[in-house]
Amino acid sequence: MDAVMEMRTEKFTEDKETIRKDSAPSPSSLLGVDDFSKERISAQDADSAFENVDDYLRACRLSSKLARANLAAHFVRNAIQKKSAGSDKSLEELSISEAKSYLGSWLAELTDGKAQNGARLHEALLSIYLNDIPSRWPDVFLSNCRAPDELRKSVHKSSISSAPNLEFTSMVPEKIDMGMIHEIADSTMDILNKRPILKMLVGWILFIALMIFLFWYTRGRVL
Amino acid sequence: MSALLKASPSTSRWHTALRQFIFFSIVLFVSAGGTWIMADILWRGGISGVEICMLILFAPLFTLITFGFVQAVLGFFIMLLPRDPFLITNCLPKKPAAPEDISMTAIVAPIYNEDVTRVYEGIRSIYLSLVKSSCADKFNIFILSDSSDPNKWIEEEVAWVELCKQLNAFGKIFYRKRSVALNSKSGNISDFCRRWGAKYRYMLILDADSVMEGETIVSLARLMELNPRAGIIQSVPSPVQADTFYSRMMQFAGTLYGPIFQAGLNFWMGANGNYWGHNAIIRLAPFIEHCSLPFMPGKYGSKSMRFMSHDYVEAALMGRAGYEVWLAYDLGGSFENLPPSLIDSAKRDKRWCRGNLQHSWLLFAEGLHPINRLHLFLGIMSYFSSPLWLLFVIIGIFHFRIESYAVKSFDYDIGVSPFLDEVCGGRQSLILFIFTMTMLTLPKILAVLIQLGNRQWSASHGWRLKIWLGMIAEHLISALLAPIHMLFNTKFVMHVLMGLNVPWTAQRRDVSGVDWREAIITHAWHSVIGVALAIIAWILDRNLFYWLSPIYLGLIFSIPISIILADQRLGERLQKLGIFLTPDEIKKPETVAHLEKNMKIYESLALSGGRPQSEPGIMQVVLDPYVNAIHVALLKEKRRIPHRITENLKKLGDRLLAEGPDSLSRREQKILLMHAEAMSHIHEKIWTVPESSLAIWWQNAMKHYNSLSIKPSTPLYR
Repeated sequence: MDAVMEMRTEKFTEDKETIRKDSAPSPSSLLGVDDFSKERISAQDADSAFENVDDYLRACRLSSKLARANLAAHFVRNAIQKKSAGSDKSLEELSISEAKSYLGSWLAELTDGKAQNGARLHEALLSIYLNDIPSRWPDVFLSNCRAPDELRKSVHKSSISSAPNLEFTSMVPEKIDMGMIHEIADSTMDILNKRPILKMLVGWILFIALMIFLFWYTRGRVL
Repeated sequence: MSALLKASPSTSRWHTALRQFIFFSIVLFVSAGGTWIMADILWRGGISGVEICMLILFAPLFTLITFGFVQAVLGFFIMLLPRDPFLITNCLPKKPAAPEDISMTAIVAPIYNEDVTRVYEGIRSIYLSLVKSSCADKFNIFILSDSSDPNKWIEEEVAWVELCKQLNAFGKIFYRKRSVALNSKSGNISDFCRRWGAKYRYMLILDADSVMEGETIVSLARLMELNPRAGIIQSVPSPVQADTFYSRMMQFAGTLYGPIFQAGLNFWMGANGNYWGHNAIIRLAPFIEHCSLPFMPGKYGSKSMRFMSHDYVEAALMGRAGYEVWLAYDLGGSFENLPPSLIDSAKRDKRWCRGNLQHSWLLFAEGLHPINRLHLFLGIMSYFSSPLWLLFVIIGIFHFRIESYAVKSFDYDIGVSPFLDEVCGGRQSLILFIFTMTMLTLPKILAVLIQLGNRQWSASHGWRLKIWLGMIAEHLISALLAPIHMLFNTKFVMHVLMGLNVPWTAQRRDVSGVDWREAIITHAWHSVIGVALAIIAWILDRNLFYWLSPIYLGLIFSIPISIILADQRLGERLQKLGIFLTPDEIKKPETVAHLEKNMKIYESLALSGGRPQSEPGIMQVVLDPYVNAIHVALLKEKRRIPHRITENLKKLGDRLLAEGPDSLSRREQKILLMHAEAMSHIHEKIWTVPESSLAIWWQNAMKHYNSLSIKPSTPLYR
């Protein structure tokens, strides 16, 4: 049994070595960059940007991990190029901008260029959501494949209306004479509300009066 | 059409007046008889001040009991007829409604921090049922939100989009969120009327837990068309989906006893009916013109107040404007949920108590119909009778003490009135006791007798026996609960009279049970009062001790009673045994069955979905590109915001990201959520700033967002 385990371990170590020597690319080469240090960034920055953009794509419901990794690497690569071209922005910022710009252009292609500015981007995102594009067309969503006609049509058709057109009417509080009780009570409450000490005194006097009455009635009558 | 209108009882006002004369004459006769016997008992050996007080308290309390009794007995006789001749539904033609038979109707569902899934699944069931009716095009549904919780707001928005998406109901189901929740529910409905009231002829109001069959909704709209003077037609919501012991018992009682009381109620109300706030259809034009709630006298701080409990007032104003208000109790297909426990029921009563007591301002208001005044008065008395009863018990004990010590002639067998002596055989006390007990019990027995002929109750072998058992159990438990309700209501009335604030909170409608801590905190004072009452009675007299036992036993054991009644498992066990079973459980209505099925799916998804992160709505709207887009699209910001406000919003947004949602108050969160530009900016920023500059809360949220489930945790996802 031990011998078998030993053989397996040896095989695994051998495989790892083979991968390392033959095909394991460095993080920088994965992104098509010769050396991170030359581009004034660290491998940690690149990792962090990659992770961030991957999170964003996941929030966009891009479910395929492979597609996400591929796109994320693409965006970080572009971001590194911009950074090396002298951009002051952080790599994370640049990568997300790349992702949004890609999303925008992908939507623009679907909506024939309508999804250009911010407001249109919101509408297009809404269209994606309303038509369940990420789940109904997972292979097409954010890919270079040509979108099927059904998808194009549904994106054009989609809109959101939370209420019909307004038709205003006037609804004003009904004037109603509540009678004498209201006037007496209202003026009494006004006086009492303006004089909180008086209000408290009235309350206590009533309570004490009740207690005295009960005492008199029970003790006085019985004894 | 004219033939149909003739068939409608709405044209026979003299008949209504005659029925009212008969009803009130009987009530007056019976209650006067009871009060006379009581006076006779108290008068022996001369009447004292305390005895006069007792008599003054006894008269209204006894009249209230008589009122219910007479109503039930009349209802019983009406239900023996092949068809109630006083129903507004008698004018409904038998052939199904065609779209041209009804006008455009808005179905409005005002909500406030409710369970979003329950509300939306209810609306889904209603919508699907309406679609089957072939008149669906005549109805639009409006979800009118006043939710103060920002998370609920976002959840409602996303759920609305999901629901419309799933039902292809954009343009049929609408969602509106008020930025300022002025004047609570009535303000929400008024706001709808001002904006869209002119588009619709009728408005059907739903409660958050309402479910209605499409056919019932169509029938209500049709009844409105057939009765042009009808301002409001109220359907009777049957309680459904009860799970706990308490709610199942109340559901059983409502279903079993409800019909005879409603038939009796309809007998004397006729076209002067009342409105219960939901599951009712309203004619919009007169409602807009005449039913906007008047201001109440006095001010709360610097603001004028409106009536909290709007329904009775709106019915009174509709009647004042010359329109009729009807009760269509036989229509069916109208459902609601009940509070799951005694404590939840008391919380609801706390709100209703304040609302009802406010109606006292309107008792003498100009122009109201006497029957509407009576509705308002009965609403007030439903709470005010509790302190009266308590006072009656306290004075009764004092009276007993005095009479026990007093050395005077007190012959129990001889009364003052020779006539009564002759009729009662000198046993007036016993007769009055039997008389009162009969009035409390007989309506329930009559209701059972009526339902025994109804095959809808025949679920299993021995169903008749089970109905009797259920009725006896309900009667005994109600007797134990009565003094607890008395103390609760007395406290609420005192709170209102002392001007203490009663917040209008969201009602809990689920069945999460009551824990011992909550029960002890709520009922400890009941138990103390119960023990004190028992000790006093024991010291004074053993007979008094036994006579008062129905009052103090319920109070002493209020804590365990409350716990047992809130038990869901016990409720389910009783259901399996066939106790407290109702026809709607035996054969579930389609809408209710559909709702239950969907809720079960959701509950299983929610259980398997793991623990949700705090502030899920805030998290979604900030992180999720789609939810953010939905929210921004619904805000429709058009006005230009001053620079100073934009700067403040920016600061709030920065704080939200740097310190997490907890650093902002609910008000600040809402302010941010109300501005489209600010929300777009926050969403943009969270994905572009370095992770280290974000609060740990956001870092975790970003890592875990969508990793457990690819879809956001909206309840409507399947």
